[in-house]
Amino acid sequence: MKSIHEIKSKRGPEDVEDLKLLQRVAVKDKVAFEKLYLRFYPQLSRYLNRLMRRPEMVEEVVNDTLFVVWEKADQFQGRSKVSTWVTGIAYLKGIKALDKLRTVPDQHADELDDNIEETNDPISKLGLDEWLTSGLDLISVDQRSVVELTYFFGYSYQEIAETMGCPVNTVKTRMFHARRRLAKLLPQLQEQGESSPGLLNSEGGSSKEKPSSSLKSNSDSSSDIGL
Amino acid sequence: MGNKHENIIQLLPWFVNDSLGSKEQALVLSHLSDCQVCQAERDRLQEFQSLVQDYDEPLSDYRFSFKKLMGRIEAAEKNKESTRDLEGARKSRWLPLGLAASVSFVAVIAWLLMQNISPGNSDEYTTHTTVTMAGGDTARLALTFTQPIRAQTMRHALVETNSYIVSGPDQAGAYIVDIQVPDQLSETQFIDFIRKIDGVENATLINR
Repeated sequence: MKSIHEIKSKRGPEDVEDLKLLQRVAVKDKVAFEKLYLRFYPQLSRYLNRLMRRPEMVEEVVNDTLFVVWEKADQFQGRSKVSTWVTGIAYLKGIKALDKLRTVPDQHADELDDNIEETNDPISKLGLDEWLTSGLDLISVDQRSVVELTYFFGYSYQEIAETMGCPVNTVKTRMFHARRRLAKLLPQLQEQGESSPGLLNSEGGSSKEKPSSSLKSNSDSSSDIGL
Repeated sequence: MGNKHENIIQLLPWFVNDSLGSKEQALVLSHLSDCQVCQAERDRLQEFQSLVQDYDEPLSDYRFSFKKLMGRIEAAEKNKESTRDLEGARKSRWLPLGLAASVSFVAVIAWLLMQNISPGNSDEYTTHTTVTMAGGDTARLALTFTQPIRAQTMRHALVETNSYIVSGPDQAGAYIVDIQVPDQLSETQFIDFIRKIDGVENATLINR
């Protein structure tokens, strides 16, 4: 087994910095660990928030993840970027936490779908955040993970496969299904939004115009996959 | 064409996030120049990506969470230390006892060896090694036979040793047998001689 101190990163300056920090963490350098924590806290929080849809649990799972990083830093083998390795741990921790809750994503999604249909209150907004989170709520946890890692984190499909511990074809299939499902769902949300004054029109402000244009282009399209 | 289009459309999310390798990127670019469906899809994906990236959820102050985690790490480290101490204490408590036991064991073995090696110190030992039995004497033995033993084999053993059964078998299957000593032998040699007879499992000299 290679020691972490023998590993040299050739995956860009960011990974070089991450590796240096991790090497210091491996010898229990708490200052380095705080820097690493600060570096990963925002992205892990965001990723786990999106993955789990349980904001109240995010902080705990982030800490579970970084606790493992503290404990196992010396076992890092350099087969991937440090950030991929850390995100992979977060993915497993998030899935495990959801398993404990026995959350079934599809049931969750059905409940949410019903709520959308019953909504007539104009104040109940389908703004940017609701639009996006409603859409993401209706796809499975694994599909959500692929979407988030692709569009927010900019991961390649190979890196996503490493993070989620699955073959690259599985990543592509999950993305395919996520796109199909989102393409079907988002026009429905748009119709719902249009029936509510001030949601997607110009009065809604610039941040609310964005989903509108995006939704229109989705609903206009009847392309192969959509999104 | 169809397959290529399907493959390209599958790769578009990673074309949009700029993570494709150079070969795949070139492939997508070349396809995009001819395919309007994929161009439209690329535009939608770009729009979706900027939407995902623009939306940032509020984050709590990391310092509070970090403090919590450090508390957990320190507790875990203390726990590890106390486990190590406990194991160390266990080892150091048992070490002298173990040493003492080992020394005692060696001493006992050494004493026994000394006792056995010194001639004339043990009656039992000398009985088997030095006492000789005159040929034609009768010795009384407890014999057990390998089971199952055929009557013929047993009879042959008795005839061969010029012996007869006094009693038996007892609950352990032993026979008390008087045997004529064939020659001048030490008791050990005699017992060895008996044990080598076909069908005899064990032989023990009993008081004559």
